[in-house]
Amino acid sequence: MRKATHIGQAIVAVAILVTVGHIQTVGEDLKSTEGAKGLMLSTRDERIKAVTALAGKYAAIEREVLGHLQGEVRKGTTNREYYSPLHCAILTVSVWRVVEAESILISIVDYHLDASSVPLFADVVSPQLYPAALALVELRVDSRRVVEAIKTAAGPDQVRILTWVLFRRSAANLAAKMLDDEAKRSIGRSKDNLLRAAATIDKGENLLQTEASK
Amino acid sequence: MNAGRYALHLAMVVFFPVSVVLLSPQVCSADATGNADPYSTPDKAKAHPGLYSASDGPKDVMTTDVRGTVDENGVSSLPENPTDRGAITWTIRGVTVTFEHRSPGWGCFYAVSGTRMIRRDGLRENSNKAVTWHSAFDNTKMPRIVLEINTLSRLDDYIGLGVTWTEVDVRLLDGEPNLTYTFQGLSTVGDGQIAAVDNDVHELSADAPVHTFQVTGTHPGLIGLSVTGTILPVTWASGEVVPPIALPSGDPTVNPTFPASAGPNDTNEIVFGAGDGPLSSAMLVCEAERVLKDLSKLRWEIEGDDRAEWYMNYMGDPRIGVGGNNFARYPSLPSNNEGFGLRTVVLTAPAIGPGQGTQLFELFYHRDATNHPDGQAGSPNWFHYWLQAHPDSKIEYVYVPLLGQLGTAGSWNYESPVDKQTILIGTAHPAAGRSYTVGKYRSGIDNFIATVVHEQRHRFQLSEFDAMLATSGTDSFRYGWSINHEVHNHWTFGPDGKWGEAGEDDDYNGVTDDAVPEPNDDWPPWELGYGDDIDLSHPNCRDWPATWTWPAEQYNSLHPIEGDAVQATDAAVNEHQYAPWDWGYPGKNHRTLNKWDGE
Repeated sequence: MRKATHIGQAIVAVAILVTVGHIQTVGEDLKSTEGAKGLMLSTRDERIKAVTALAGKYAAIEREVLGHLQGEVRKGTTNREYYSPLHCAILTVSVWRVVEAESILISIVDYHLDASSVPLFADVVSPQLYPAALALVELRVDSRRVVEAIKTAAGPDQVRILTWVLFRRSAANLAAKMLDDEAKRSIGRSKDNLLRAAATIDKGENLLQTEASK
Repeated sequence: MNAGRYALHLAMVVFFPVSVVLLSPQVCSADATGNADPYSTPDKAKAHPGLYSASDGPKDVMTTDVRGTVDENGVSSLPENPTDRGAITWTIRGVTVTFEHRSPGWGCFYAVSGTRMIRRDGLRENSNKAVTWHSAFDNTKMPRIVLEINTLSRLDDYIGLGVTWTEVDVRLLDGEPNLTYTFQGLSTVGDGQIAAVDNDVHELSADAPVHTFQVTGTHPGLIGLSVTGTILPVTWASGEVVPPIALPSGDPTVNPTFPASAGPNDTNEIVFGAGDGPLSSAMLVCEAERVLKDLSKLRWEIEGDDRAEWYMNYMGDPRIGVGGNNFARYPSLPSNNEGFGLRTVVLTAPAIGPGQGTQLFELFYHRDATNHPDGQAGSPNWFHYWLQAHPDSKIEYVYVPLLGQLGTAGSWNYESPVDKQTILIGTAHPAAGRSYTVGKYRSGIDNFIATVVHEQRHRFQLSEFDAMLATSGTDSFRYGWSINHEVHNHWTFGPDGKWGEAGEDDDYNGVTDDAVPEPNDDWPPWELGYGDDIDLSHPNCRDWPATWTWPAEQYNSLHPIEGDAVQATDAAVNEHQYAPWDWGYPGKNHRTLNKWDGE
């Protein structure tokens, strides 16, 4: 467990290292895949051992980064600095494809970063400033799950961002139909949220634009 | 799906002649009168010398079962598509007949009709009981037609005891007004039990496209027709001398001629494999709407592209394919982006005549695979190929979740140099959005190019900023314009031409009027800024030069260094501007035009 902790910290650190000039190059990254060479060993036992080792390594990292994300979310989402601990935790669950993180990411889907905190000489586009939403897209979250999240969304901002996630995860026309169909079966706030999403999904990428940035 | 279709057609071409022989009762069984079919054995040539020459073997005889009553009163039997023509139709009224056809030379003729099958020696009949043909090899030779009259059934116009008759129409196809066919007599064959009434020469033309002749006799039998005249080069479709191309088919996504009609399809968008070695190849399946017996008569080439290797090629030249069905294999991904995109496959039939058929298709690479043949190993294909649309001599892909960054410029310090040249591109691409939420919306390749341009602007900024500071190579200016430092080095001499107060050791380091940095650069740094030294910084932003124009209002919410870069990028790159360079799958030319992700 302690080893896994170190690995998780190392992964999270990757993004942070960018800002201080230690970019992990492609070549360095390839060296780290040497653990997979065991898959090509000659005996079946050796190969089983290699598979088991890699699976265990992944599971350990998955647990670690998920725990890290949970911990940062518990601390709150007020730190909107680019490469904040929460931001790095989100980046990491995305990079490691930790599907179990979807629920947490949905709960903070409207977490957004302050564009002025992006390190100088970097470039970002709007979705990167909504890291939880972008991570959901990269984790290929199920559209039906997003629709369910829209039903229970706490406010217009969450509905807007979730609508963007839905837009990215399915064709706009299909998503609109999905929302309409679900709205017919819903009442109260759920219905309102769904109708609001259905009415705005055709805005597509512009859903991430706040009034201030338009 | 294409491969399966190809295999199906290949199987049909190979096996169809066999199946016809097996299924045709006229080949193996006695005819309607109980007489043994004289053409079913090699002795047939001996039995009917008028129809066979010594060079003609029985295997060259075709028998087609067209039994059934046809058009009792009419003669209309044009093929389904008149422009897709052969030469002549034969309409048989009110009788059950069998057509037999043989070529005067070995395989000189192919008979075609509609979309039906081609027999081994080329005869084909259509549902209208019409026979059409073309000369595939030698357009000066003519076919000879053998009609086997099984039943003489027209008794309404009695001719004589024991004699009955039927009629056969010979009709010129529509669409061939300039062709003239002359029929030289209807020679009787066999034992004289059947005879054609008409032995004259008849010319068919557009004005008189039909000639009807009678066949009389006491028993069913055979009659032969000699056809002479000039068969023009085979015309498969209007204006073309080769068969239309069935595959690849459809509009390419990028259609230079009819952009409005361009649309998604899966029949002409070819994607290279995502693996290495043989698994990176691409396969173009080609199929002509009709095939010829002699494979070498149809030639396939890919215009201006000699990388494809045809499975069946011409004289060992892999660049030239032959046959009606073939496929071209691109063995590996090209190095250059120009190796993808719109291509034209050309089908010609040089032995038949001039003209060619063409079809567009498009080549793609797997966007996120890493199997490009050179460039930065391990980098994704999109990075390798998109970069060629806007090259940069110092750029690197990094496995870091960032969009773009200029080296380590953000870590500027007084102690060591930073990288202000290398543009780092990260795993956040391919992406879409607005730079810093205030820039123009761009996606996919355009967003990537925008990032490169953005970082190039930073490179230019720092180059210009650094140039404002003259350095001795060992002073505080040696690493250029300071960034993110409270104590900056954005100074130049005042009128006294000295750092700090002229003649004063302002930083008490024992050296007068020097600009040497101190180990601790926070305070007091040096003599800079004292006396009449001039601050080059903008009054509103320490790291922005006063002489540089402040970014426009739209970009005011950002640090001017970033605002300026976003502004410069917006001026240089628009959404879809670089789309024509994007041959990734998914990408802006695959399936759905300008859709950067997904289908």
